[in-house]
Amino acid sequence: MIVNDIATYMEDLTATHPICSAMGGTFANGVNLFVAYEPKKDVDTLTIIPYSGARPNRDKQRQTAAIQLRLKTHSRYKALNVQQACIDNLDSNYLNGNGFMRANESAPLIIGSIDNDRWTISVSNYTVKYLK
Amino acid sequence: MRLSKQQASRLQSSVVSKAPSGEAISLSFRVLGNEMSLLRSNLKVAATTITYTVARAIAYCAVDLLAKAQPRVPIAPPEDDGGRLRKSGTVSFMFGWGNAAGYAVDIAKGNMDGSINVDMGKMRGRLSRSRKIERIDAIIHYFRESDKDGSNVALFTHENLLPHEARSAKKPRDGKFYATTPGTGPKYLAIPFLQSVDDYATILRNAVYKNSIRNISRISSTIKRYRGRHTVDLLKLHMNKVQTLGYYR
Repeated sequence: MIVNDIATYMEDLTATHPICSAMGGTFANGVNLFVAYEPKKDVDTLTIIPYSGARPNRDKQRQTAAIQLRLKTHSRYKALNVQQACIDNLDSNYLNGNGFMRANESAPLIIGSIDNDRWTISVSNYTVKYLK
Repeated sequence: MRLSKQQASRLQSSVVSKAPSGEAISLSFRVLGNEMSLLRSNLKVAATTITYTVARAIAYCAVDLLAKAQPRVPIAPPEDDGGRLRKSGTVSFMFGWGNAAGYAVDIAKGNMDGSINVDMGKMRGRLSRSRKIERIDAIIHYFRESDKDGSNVALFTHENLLPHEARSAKKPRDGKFYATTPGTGPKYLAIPFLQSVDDYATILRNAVYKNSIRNISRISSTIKRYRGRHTVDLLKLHMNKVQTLGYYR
């Protein structure tokens, strides 16, 4: 599934990659990187959430998925910084040959806060074209 | 380059060629002054027809998207003052030229029950009074602020993809989640757009390459003129027929 490919790609990023630099560390699935579901953890987390995309091509092999990266963090500055790094580095990214990712916006969105303003939520949205 | 009437009436070209046998073959081409005026008028009407056809196609796509988005917009129960987000759904149609801001008219509005009201007449009136349109935009937008803290409810509702049981916001009165009407949810505008974007691209492409040409033929008539011994059919496009073309052809 393309969502898992994106998660693998994020896990393979080194500590010096701009996204990891902004995050303050590398990503690990189940620790600070999650797919489809954001658990209540007391750490900054990045969740990859798929949502309905465009219809498949007529040959049903070429798919277009829609993906949201949702970041939960204590700091509003980090909320914008990490998401902007994601947009800058994931836009027009071939995901090591698994697909072609395009950012839908040039800048991230802070959509609000949760748990009495303890956590800031920011999102960025992407379209991913890939072969089934 | 603008030609005066006198210059246009004298515009002519001639080609002289020699046949293999050495005899001269000549061909001359001449455009009369009144035909040049008709040509200029026809080009202006053709440009206006293309603008109208494309504008209507854009408006159709925008209204269609709002109609598909409305039933998906989350709605709270009446006791929670529900429906304000749905009622804010609007299609704004804008057109301008050069650096001018141009005009904006609202041609569709959402209702609480998930339906929409459409009034294309506003667009038609503005189009007929505006000249040299160079830019056409249609925007579908929603707006709602929280009464509690002024946060952007429209944005949060659209972008929060977590399931209700994973969210922290619950009603203080009964501890239940907000706006859980079945069939509604986040990405209420993005999902209908992604599902229909290929169709909209086809509609816009057809508006430029097919419907514009068909509409031009609909507003044309032929005028017979005599040139020496010959009768020629001149094509005339009628500006006053452009508005009769309708919105869904």
